[in-house]
Amino acid sequence: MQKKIDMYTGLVAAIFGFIVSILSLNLPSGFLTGGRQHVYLPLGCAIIMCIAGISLFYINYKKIKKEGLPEQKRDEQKEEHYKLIIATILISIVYAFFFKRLGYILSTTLYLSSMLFLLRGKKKWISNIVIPLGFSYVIIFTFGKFLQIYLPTL
Amino acid sequence: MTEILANLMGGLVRAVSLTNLGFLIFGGTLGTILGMLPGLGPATGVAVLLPLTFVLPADTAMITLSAIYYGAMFGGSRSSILINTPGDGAAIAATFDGYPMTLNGEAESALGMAAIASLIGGLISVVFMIFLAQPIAGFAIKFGSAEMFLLMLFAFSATVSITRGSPLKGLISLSFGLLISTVGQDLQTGIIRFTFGLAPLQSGIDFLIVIIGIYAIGEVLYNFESIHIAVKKVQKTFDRIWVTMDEFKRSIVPILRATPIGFIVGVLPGSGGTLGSLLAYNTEKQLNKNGDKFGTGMIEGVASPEAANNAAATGALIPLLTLGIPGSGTTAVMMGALMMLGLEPGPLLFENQSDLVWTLMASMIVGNIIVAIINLPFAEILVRVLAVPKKILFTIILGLGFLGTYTFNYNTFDLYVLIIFGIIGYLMKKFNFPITPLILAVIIGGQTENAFRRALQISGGSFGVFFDSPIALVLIGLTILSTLSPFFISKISNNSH
Repeated sequence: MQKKIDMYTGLVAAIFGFIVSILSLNLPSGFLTGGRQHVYLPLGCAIIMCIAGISLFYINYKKIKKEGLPEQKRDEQKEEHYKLIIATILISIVYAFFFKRLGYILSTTLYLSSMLFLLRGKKKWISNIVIPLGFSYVIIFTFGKFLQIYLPTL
Repeated sequence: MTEILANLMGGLVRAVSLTNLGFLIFGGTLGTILGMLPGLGPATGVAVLLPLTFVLPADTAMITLSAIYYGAMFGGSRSSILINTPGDGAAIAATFDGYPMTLNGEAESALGMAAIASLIGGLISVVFMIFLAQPIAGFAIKFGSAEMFLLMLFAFSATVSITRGSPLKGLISLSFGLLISTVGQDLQTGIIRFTFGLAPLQSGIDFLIVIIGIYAIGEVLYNFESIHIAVKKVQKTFDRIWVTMDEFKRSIVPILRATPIGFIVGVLPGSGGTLGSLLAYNTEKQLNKNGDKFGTGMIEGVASPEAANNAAATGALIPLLTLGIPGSGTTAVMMGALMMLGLEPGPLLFENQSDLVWTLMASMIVGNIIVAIINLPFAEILVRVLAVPKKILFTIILGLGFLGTYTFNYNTFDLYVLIIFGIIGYLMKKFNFPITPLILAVIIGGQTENAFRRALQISGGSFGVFFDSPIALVLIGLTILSTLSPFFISKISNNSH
């Protein structure tokens, strides 16, 4: 399985490197000097990434062709984890959106509570609410009072 | 010698001021706890605490962050010994003999020896550091732009070749990091690179956000894959955590052998404590008269890697402070903190901020002793942390990650960037891509490009400037050697098989 993953990640890296190479070549010349020095690093890195990606792809493709792939079984627990990770990312995006709009305390309490409900279920609902609320208040108090860092309020 | 001692005494006086001592204890305790918790390492701890650097004086901030680092080296072995799960990578070798000792009913000796070996390894390596750091910085000050560029190139190649697993993946990770560092307006030409019309990206992607995204958010997402696995039961009551005179006598030589190994490995860019402790363990296994019994619960097998990983943590600070090149993932994050404080790590740090450097080095003497004290009599209390529900812990880390990121620029756009790098960090861990090359590249990518362009400007566009001086030639030689080393190593290991 790792070989297959490595083969695909190699391919992704190669495509990414290729796209960035094109973008680098299309960068305009310097306004005053007309120089192209700002192209060297991104172009060089993109080419290296492209070559490394192709090599990774080719090495693993050859290995798979030679040794074959073991049969893959469906792993339900793994699918559960992926759902959890995707849900966390979505909740985090919503949090980022409401961070300033709802203020730190409300947005953070809602975010952390949602995460705790997601991870621990509904049974522990009291602590799922109390912990985030306590966290938000402690942070806003500590940051405002001791660190002079002011977080958004509603 | 007199000057070194005078500087050290001055540093010691500043290090034991009430504030610094308080933060030293705080950092050491937090580091021990973070080191203990499987899945969370010192880099995560340092990353989520970066906002502290805004408000603390520079010396206090650096003392706290470095105490987290070596505190984690002490703490990492606790979970290795008690539940056979290393707290972080550097503690993996402590599972080989530490856990068998627990099964043999000798957990107290294993925990005691781990702390004592860490203390001795830490203290000796601080002495090495005190005597080596200033001469290295004094030498590096002679470096021009071309030499600085070649030095960074060497750091990149060493980081990629030391990477465990595939060097190709290390190369991809490094290139990606360098590309991230090019996003935004190029200050020399005014050209805007790869912002895709997004105005907040014009000033570039803040490396601190990349660090928090990858080390805090990415780490948490990765840990979600094992979140439903039940935690092993931890032994919570102990007799006196200490070692007998016989155990100490058996372990002192392995400790003294492992310390220089860990220190030297730590100094190499990108290697860190994991490689240091594994190398020390294997060396001790070869040299020790009881080497064939290693893996069955030999106290020397705990002492050796524990001394080495603490020595490596100290060693990793040398290239950071003297050359401006981090020696490990955690020191890369610390370099970010230094830059955030407006300081430029590198040879000039010793000239411009000598008080800070000496305070930091002196604090490590006091800090190692304090952390050893935390880890010996208080071990019984600290191991209870292993029972803290991961689900609550990870949720709090997510909250701290977002909080820290927002406080950099007070801009919610950064929160989206954080999420993106959290996903990238997760995918990199999932697909076994090394993270250190990327972090190193993001942090020193801009400096590397500037040094390269400045060297070319000075030489009027001639690439000969990179081959002009003996230092440059040595650095080129080292870069070629480190680039080819994975091929030699694999050839040697294939032959030996």
